[in-house]
Amino acid sequence: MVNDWVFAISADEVEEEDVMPAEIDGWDIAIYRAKGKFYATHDKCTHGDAYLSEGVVVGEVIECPLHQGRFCIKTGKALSAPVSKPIEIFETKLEDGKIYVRLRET
Amino acid sequence: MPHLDANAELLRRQREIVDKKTLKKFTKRRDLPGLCYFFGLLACIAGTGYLVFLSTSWGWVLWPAMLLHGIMLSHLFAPLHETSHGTAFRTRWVNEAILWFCGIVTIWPPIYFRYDHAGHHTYAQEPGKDPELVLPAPRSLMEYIYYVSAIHLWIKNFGWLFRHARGYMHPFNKQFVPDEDLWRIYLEARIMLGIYATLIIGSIYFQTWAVLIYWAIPTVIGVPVARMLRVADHTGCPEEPDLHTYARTVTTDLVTRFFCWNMSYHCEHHLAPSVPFHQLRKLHEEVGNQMNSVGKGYIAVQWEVLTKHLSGVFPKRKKIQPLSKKI
Repeated sequence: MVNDWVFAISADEVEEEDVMPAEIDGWDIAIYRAKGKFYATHDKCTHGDAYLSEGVVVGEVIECPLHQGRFCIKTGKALSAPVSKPIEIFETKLEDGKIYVRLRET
Repeated sequence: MPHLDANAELLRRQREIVDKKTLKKFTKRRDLPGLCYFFGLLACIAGTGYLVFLSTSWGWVLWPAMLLHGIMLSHLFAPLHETSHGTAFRTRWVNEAILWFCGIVTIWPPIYFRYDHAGHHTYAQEPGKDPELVLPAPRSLMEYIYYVSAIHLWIKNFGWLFRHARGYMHPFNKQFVPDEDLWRIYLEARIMLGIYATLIIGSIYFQTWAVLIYWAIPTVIGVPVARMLRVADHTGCPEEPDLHTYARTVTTDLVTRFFCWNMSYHCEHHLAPSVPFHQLRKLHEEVGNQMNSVGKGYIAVQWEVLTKHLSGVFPKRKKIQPLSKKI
């Protein structure tokens, strides 16, 4: 995995307080828009393997669609049961209406 | 990992019935509906509590007053359930405060219930896997009485509390809780038992019956009504993982929907547990024709269970085996 910025999704595809999926280099990524800022996390919930991009964004929190486990989308921290392991987060940047994500080196 | 396959399959089946865009219309979180429902229920509890107060010098009249009060108290299970999902309120601390309040009053350990209930949503109506399918149906009259009388409820809930308080969890229950979170469950049980012990000791010290007549006795004699409502959720539905049929949406009146926080729309709740209780009716209008909407009320469903789904008086029970993996 390279350490470069990779295009993920157009900014206008992600509504305020919402989340959309993006596949980058085979990774399932969830792209969030909350309070005007964009965030990215791994798309799979660490509890039940559901796609967080199908979940509900409440403020700066993503709620899993399956069991309503909650993660902070800024830090990845697990906030409430039944999730306990944090979700991986990624850096994002907005350029020319496009959201770019920087995946970690592996 | 079997539970991951089950979760993926569940979401796939959900999406066949309702897409994300449609669902988003119903998942918006608000505080006001939940506050109206909660404080409305508290007002009813205060009213029946006042009736108990008035009845204390009227001899036997105290008992029907305590029964009515207990029926009101038992409906605190509804906000407990909604707040365990975390969907009842937008403001998180309000959600958690009401979750704990309801858990303590109804004697359900709230954090453990959250894990247990997540397992129920993954494995609803799968015998041996669904943690809330404590009675496989119930299939006999004795099991029905055992369930509705809530004897099983007190054995189960106090069993959880005493086992967890001494740092032990039954293997069947343990599969739903990550190892790193076991301490929270154990601490929760100790806090709850500490509160109940304080109430008992305080009652003896101050020589008061208040805890008994305003809470303990009403809770025990009133909870069967809430249990009867719960029978309608799944009992007699096919024991297979089919979102269309494994739950039941019951037709009922506004007052009953108020007390059960719209859990009469139980199919819709299982279809999309992210949808808050106050939006379930609208979701029902959208997808209800695809769900098991039985067009009957709670009493009719109760009669159906008693006359069609029970075979004999005594049960034939199977031992439940724990799963090999955590949920």
